[in-house]
This record gives sequence, structure tokens and C-alpha cells, in this order.
Amino acid sequence: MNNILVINLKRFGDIFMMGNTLASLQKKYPSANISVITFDEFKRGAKILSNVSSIHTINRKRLLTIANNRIFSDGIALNLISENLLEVENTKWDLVVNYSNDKISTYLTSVISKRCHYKGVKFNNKHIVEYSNDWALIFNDILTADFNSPFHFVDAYQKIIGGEHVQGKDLVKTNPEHNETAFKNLNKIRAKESVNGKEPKLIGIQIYTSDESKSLDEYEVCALIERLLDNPNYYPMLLCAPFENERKVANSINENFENKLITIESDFLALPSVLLNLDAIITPDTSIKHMADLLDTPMVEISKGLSPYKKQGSISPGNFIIRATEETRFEEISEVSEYCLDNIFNHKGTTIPTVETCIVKRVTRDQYGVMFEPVFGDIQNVDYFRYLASRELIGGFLINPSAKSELIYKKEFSNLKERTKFILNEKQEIADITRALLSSLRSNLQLQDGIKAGAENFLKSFDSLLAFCERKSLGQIPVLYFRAKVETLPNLSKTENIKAIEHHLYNLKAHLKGVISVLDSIQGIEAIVTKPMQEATL
Amino acid sequence: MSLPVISDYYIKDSKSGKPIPVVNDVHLHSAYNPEKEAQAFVDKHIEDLKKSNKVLVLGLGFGYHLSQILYHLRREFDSNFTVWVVEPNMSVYLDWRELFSADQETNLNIVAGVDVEELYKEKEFQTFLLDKPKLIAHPASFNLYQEYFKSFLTFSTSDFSEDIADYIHDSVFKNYILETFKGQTFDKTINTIQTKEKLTREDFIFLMVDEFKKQGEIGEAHE
Repeated sequence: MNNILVINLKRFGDIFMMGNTLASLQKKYPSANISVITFDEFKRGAKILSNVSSIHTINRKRLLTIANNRIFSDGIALNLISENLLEVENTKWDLVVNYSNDKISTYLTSVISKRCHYKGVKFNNKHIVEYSNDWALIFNDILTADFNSPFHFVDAYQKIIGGEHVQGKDLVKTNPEHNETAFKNLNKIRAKESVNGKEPKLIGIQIYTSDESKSLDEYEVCALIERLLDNPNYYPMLLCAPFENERKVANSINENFENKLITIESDFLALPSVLLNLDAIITPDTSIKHMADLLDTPMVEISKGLSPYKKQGSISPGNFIIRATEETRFEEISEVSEYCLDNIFNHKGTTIPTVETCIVKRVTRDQYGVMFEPVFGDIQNVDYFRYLASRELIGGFLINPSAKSELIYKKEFSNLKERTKFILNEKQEIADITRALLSSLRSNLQLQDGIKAGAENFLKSFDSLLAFCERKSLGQIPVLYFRAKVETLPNLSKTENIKAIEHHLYNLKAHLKGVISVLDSIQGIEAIVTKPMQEATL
Repeated sequence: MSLPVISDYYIKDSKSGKPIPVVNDVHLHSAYNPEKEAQAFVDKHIEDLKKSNKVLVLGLGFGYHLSQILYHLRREFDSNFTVWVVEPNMSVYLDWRELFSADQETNLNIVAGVDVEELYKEKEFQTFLLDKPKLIAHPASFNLYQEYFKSFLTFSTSDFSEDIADYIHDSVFKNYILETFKGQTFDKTINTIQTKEKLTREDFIFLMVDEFKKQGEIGEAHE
């Protein structure tokens, strides 16, 4: 495997997150050169990733201007893409990876993979979606369907490429001069701010995110800083990029502290050195968080608004994620953040905070990958059970329904009352899906037998079955899988397609049995575990 | 849009001694002091000129306003700026060049006496427009050649495949468009592609452009 091309047409956060996949690819194919296609404006994110030998770019802004202005011929856009593509096609690729999984990257993959292998999703030359493996289907059709994905995207990518997780600090390139400067300067601050000879931990606080719904309000940041300043174990510092809008935010916050706070302003070239030399960071959902993960910098992530932490949250074990709601008071965020830092640094005598509205998770790993273990909230309730059971289902049964695997989660289901409620509801849902499934099978057979009402009955029952794709339950997963399989049926004759659907309906039946098997296994835990889990088990 | 009809054109001296063109009885600059008039006019655009090093000027006249624009751009950006001027009247342009020994400025491009449709086919001009230059219209020229400049500002390129193919450099791709999608608009081409039995590389490129169209013009990238 000499030349691998990874197509990532997303923004900085996804570019940095890709660093994990690149490391896995490099580990799997040690002698391969890995190149990346990004949009022009995000190239500087890819430049600092290790394992990238070259970067091809597409000028997104130019193409958008051309495509959306009547003064420019579409021929200009067609020509531009054709010329970009010719450059890429001049290399003999052994593998192309569709990382960003959107339409444009999928079209690109479809063209480039005509002469090489691919991973992810592509269109065949009949414009029908094809998946490189079942995990590509799961990623494209199941994990993206639910805000509360049971698997982190990093794990899904690893399963798609067939690689292993790589942990380490060298997934990002750092500049030796910047490293030395950051090391010296931050150590000076530690020494200066030490109390009774004990140096504080330097905590970088990322103050800005481009998405307001994910941002911390100024008073939330100020409350956090005040709390940390009162704690001799910590010294907070503001982190921002060298842009006017971010400086404004930093200055505004600093005015509340008589301009005594230190602001570290750094671009993507210098930021890795800063993150390596800080003791921890506190950040909303920003690209900085993904960079910190690549560098193994301890982190408390504050997830707000549309931030999908289960899909794209921090992945380094030992980090914390605070999922705040609109009702969460800023005092609660700062109290809980301090508590999380105390646990990261094993500080004794930590006061357990009053947690009323937010959910706190600790990042861990298990055999399925990144796992978010509840610390406050979301413990032993239906949402958490569904998260765990989904992991068991997808990780253990969906890919290989005949596999007999032991449940990996047992003590997590120890609340008998909630567990029973969960199992009953899920089994009821499975019963409803099974009814719709049997009705579809019956009418499918009627169609095959040429019975007059067959077509109408089939459409009706098929619609009822697919309606379960929208219902939040364990049963949703096999139905989504089924739908994806049906949507990607090749262009066969009507008879062949009806037969193919019958085959997939039987597969769905087997998958539903897998769901029952998982639920029965969970029910069977009853005899083994008798003590309920305690809250805040750190 | 064809070029404006010029029924009458002569040069006269202003009160300050500077020459000014008179086209179809319209004085294109002040009959008293064209330089002072130009300074006052461009002063209104100073803040915009500080923000953009790419400027498109509609109307040349004898370039008094252009001199002011170049002066401010040099102050702000040194030599790092580009200016294009569109002047429909070739005679005025040629006289300007002769009278002022002009056209030496390396950052300046002048397109004179060119039909609007042909102008938009000019590749360098297209590249310049893609950078979204600041637009400054010389009022007297704009009013005189209103039809021409309005057609310039509201120009809509042809989306028929034969015209689209004009912009394709790769002969294989060009021939493919001409042979496969003859007489079709871009949208009709996309519909054809979506119902084809077998898709080619070129078809996927069309689908990519269609996808960019659906995204609309999105703002600055962050994060």
C-alpha cells in the first residue's frame, strides 16, 4: 500500500479529528504516503497533522461564487473541478478514504476509486450508494440518525478502515522554537503564581466558538475564572486566536478582572506548543478540543446547544464532558468544572458539587471504543441503558447475528426498576416492529405470487415498517439498517427486487432476534448484580 | 448588449486648462476643474478603498477619478492592488492614452470598446471578478452609457451546454458535453445524468457543481 488519499471536506474540528484516523491508517500501512484533500480555507489545519505527506485543495469559496452567480458560466466551475481532479488523478492511489461522507466527497470518491480500493461510501456508476463494509453503512445511516449516537465517530472511522486506535502526543506537528518559548513562559508563570512553594496547574480557557449556541456566555466564563482564581491549585488563562473578534471577547472578559488575566493568543502553528505545556484546558465544543485530544492534553469539555458530544466529544480517557442545558446556572458549570479538574489531578478533599441540571460524563475506553461513563445525571436511566444496549447490539450482534458474545456491560444495569421499565418498553417496540415486518413479508409473498392486492398491501405495510426508523428505540437500529440495504438495491428487474427485499426482511427478522437476545441478556444480569451503582464513583 | 452609439465626440479644454471629452453633448468631467471634481468624488469612497485592494471602475472618461483612485490605493497597499476599468467608448480610451501617456500602470487593466458578452468571456477579467472587487461607477460615464452598464451589471450567462463547453479546457470533457448534452441547459443536463444507465467521470463532475449550487453562498469559515 503506497499511496492513500483521504478526502475531508469539512471544517477545522473535523480536520483535527481526522488526525486519529490518519494515525490508525499509518499504523496499519507503515510504508504508505497519506495525502489529504481539503477545502482551501482549511488547509492550514491539515498542515499541522502528523502523517500527512501532501495536501490537495479545492477552492470552495471560488466554486460557491461561480456556482451561485449568474454572471459566471457553470463551465468555469466544471473546468475548475476537472483541473483539480486531474491533478489528483495523476497519482496512482492504492486506497481512497471518504472521510467527510457528504455528497461532494462521495462523488470525488466515486471518480477516484474507479482505479483503486475505497473505504466509506461511494456511488457506483449507476448512481447507487455502495458501502465498503457494514460499518460504512452503520456510520452513514445509523450513527448520523440520532443525536445520541452509541458510537463515537472516531471509532466508526477506525472500524471502516479496519484500523486500531493510536494514542499519543505525536499526532500533531510542533515547532521546536514554539515549544521552547511556551515551556519557558508557562513555567515562569507557574513559578510566579506559586503559593507556599506549590505551583498551580495552568488551566487554559477557550473563550470563543463561532457557533453561539455552543459558546460560554461572558458571565459563565467570568464565574469559572473567579472560582479557579480562588483555588490555589489552579491558575486560569484565556486562550484565543489572533483575530480581532476573539481579542475583543478576551478584552471584555479581562475588564472584569482589572485586566490582570493573561491571554495567550496563538495561531494553529503555535497552539500545539501551548497546549502541550498547559496542564489542562476548559473548552466548549471547538476545534481546539480535537487538537487537545491529539496532544493528550487533559480537558474539561463544556457541551452546550447543538454540540453532539457522543459523536464528536473529547476522546482521551480521563477527560470530562459537562453537558449543560439552558437551565444550567453558571455557578453550577464553574462548580462542576472545578470538581472535574480536581479529579483529573487527583486532588484530595474535593467537595462534591450540587448538580441539578447538567450531566457529567467521564471519557473512558472499552472494547467497543470511546465510552462516556456517567458521573452525575444520566445514571441508571432509560437513555443510558439504550446507549449501552445499542453499543452491545451494534458491536456484538448486528454485524454478525450468529455470534454469541457476552455482554460487556453488567453493573451498569443494576437499577432493577429502571432496567425492567426499559426492557418492557423496548420489547413492546420490538413486538410492534415484528408485526409490521410480518405484514410486509406476507404482502411481499403475495406480490411474488401475483395476487392483485399484493402491491397496495405491500406499500402500506412497508411504509408502516419504515416509520419505525423515526422512533427512538433499540429496534430503530435494525430497521435503519434494513432501510439502507433496500435503498441501495442494485437496478434489477422488478421480480428480482421483490425477492431481494424478501431476503432483507428475513435479515431484519434475524436482527430483531438479536435485539431480543441483548435485552434477555440484560434481564439475565438480575441474578448476578445486587448492589446499585453509587453516584460520583470517582 | 452592443456598444453604445456615439453620434458626436470632441475634446474641449476646461477652465482649469485640463482636457475633457464631450460625448453626445455630455461633458464627462467638470467643465471648470475636473481634477477637483474627481478628488471630491473619490474622497467619498476612501473608506471602501482602504478595505479592498481590488477595484472595478465603470467608465474611464479622461481618467481624473482613476488617478485619484490609484493614488489612494498606492498609499494603502503600496503596489499590491489591481484595478480594472470598463470603458465602452474606444475613441475616448485611445485619446486618453495619447493625451496622458497613460497605460503604463502595471496594476491597471483597461477594457475598451468591448461588447458585454465578450467581456465576460475574458478569462483574466473573470478571475478578477471572482475576488469580489469594490465597484466604483464614474457618474457621468454611467449616466451616458446607461444601457451598456446596466446590461453589464445584470448580465446573465448562457447555461446551454454549447456555451458551457466553451470554458472547458480538457478536450475529452468538452467533446463529451457537446455530444451528450447538445441543446440542454445545465439543469436539464443534471436531470439527464440522474436518469442515465451508466455514469461517467464527467457526469460526476456535473453532479459536484450541482451540489455546490445547492449550498448557496455561505459565509466565512470558522472552527
